[in-house]
Amino acid sequence: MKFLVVDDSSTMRRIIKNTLQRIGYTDLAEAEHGKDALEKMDGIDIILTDWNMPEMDGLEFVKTVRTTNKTIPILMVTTNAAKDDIVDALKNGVNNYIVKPFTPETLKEKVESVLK
Amino acid sequence: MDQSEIDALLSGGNLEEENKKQQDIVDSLIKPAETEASNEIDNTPSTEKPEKPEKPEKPKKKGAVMGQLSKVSQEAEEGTTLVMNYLENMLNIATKQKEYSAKLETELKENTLIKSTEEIIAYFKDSSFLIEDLIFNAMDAFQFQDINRQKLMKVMHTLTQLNTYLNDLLGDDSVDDDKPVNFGRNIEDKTLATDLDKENVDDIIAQFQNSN
Repeated sequence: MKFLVVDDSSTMRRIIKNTLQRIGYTDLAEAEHGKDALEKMDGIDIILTDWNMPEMDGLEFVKTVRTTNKTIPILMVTTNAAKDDIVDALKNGVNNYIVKPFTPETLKEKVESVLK
Repeated sequence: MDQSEIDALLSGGNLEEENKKQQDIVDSLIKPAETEASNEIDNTPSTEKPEKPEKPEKPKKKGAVMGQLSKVSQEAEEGTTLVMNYLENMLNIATKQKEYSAKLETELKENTLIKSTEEIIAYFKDSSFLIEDLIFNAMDAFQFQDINRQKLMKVMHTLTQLNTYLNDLLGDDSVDDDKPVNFGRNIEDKTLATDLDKENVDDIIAQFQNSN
């Protein structure tokens, strides 16, 4: 199971990666923004992406991925906490949504939920 | 944690007791500070006429506010990365300690077990798990950095808009702002509290799924 963690904050990428490793997922790739992530999609089974990023934001990235891949699980991990944002993300193909800051338990629960 | 507490821990003290002691020390350190702070508040109405506020110094260069905010954002990221490096090193040590304890335990089981040795092993195992948990918690706490960074960028964006507006109004074309900033539009105010919106988010997702 290969994860792609997309976030412009290196700290957040490391927090997410460390938590995933602790849960038991060790095959992890990372990208700084949507454009970077699109180049690293080979062999990826699940995507965890931030929303607010330079170059290409998370929503644009999700929309682009969904034009060619309808099935890959995508989890949005973001500070955007408004209902409209969550609905917007879901409408555009996000499978589940986490508001920062989150606990490791929430990340585990959400990852397991989208992998079902 | 001071040396005496480390020594107590190394001598095989109860970890829960040590944690309680540590919390007591933290509490005792916090309380006097709070008392001092509250003593500083003087509720007596002042009869003196308030002084006219001083005019702030003229900035030495253009865009000083924006520059400072940008530095805060950048330095906070660099500082956090450094602390994360230290924490990850500690985590590696704790993991190795766990591996060695397990190895030692296996080897000792083949011979005669001495009670004190069992206790030492149990202690090392417990402490390793504790250290690992503490380090993970500390790492998770750094999520504030990303949220604060986005808050600062939001301030920068507002200031940039204000700057642009004023320059348009006053005719100064010295603004240089082609870099777009990225920030959350609805950032939760309580940065250090986790999962504040978890239930709401789950409700919204459930509603969305039911409507489709």
